[in-house]
Amino acid sequence: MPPWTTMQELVTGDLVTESDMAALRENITYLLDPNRAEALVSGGNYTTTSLAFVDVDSTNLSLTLETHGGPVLVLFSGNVYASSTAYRVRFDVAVDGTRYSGAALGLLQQGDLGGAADSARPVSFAVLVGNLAPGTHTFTLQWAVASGCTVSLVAHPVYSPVMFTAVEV
Amino acid sequence: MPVQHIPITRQAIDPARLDAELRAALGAVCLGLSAHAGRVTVHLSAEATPEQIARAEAIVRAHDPALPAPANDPDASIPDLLSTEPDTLEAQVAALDEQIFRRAVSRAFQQLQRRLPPG
Repeated sequence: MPPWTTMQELVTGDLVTESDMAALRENITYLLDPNRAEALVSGGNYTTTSLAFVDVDSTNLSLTLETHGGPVLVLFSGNVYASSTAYRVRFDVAVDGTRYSGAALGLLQQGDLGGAADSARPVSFAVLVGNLAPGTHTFTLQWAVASGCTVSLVAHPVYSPVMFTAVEV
Repeated sequence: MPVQHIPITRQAIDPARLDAELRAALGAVCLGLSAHAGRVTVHLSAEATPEQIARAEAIVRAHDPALPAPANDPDASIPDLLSTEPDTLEAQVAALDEQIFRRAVSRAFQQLQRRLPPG
């Protein structure tokens, strides 16, 4: 994808040059193919009993994106299961190490989970992260569970991979 | 909440039972564990001492997933409200997760119904 080019501010009487048009063309191309980072993970299921929000996978489910000051749309989808329908799981995204929602129980809480990997319950969220200064930012999927719960996130090699994406919009 | 993450290479585990073993040994400093692809990460609060970290590592290495797993019983974490000391009942109830609380109340009513004479 091409970089975003800061364009020269033109006023009446200025000559539009080849470089102005090149910048315009590159920026249109950029808008059609924006900065993004994607992860589709299927290297084996994840399990947690953590009461505190922790990274699901700080290597494979953490995205680094260089932005130009625009908001970033973060998308997550996966499938979760537990050994009891009473168990609950919570998801959030950490932006540069700080949990975005600020809510005690995260962006998304899901209960009544499926009992096994092949009957897991789908979970997803989409969140628009604004107020980001131009530069490099890291988006990391985090999760936690309610007290006494053990919950797994399916990342099976042949079905239900975890999808995590960040796109500057 | 600041968390220390202690990664340990460890194949097959029983997550629920290992979690129970860690909490029994370390108390509130243990926030839980995560497991993926042959690696266990123990999550400890920032206050955990080097001795507690070493103990957590030892517990994970000594863990035997083949042993009976009482913590796998989904009802294991539900307190018996009818047997709880009145002085501590309010604090215990306040600390319960909503779903666990509902199941604890449901269980208490079932126990009461069994004790009451028919009619």
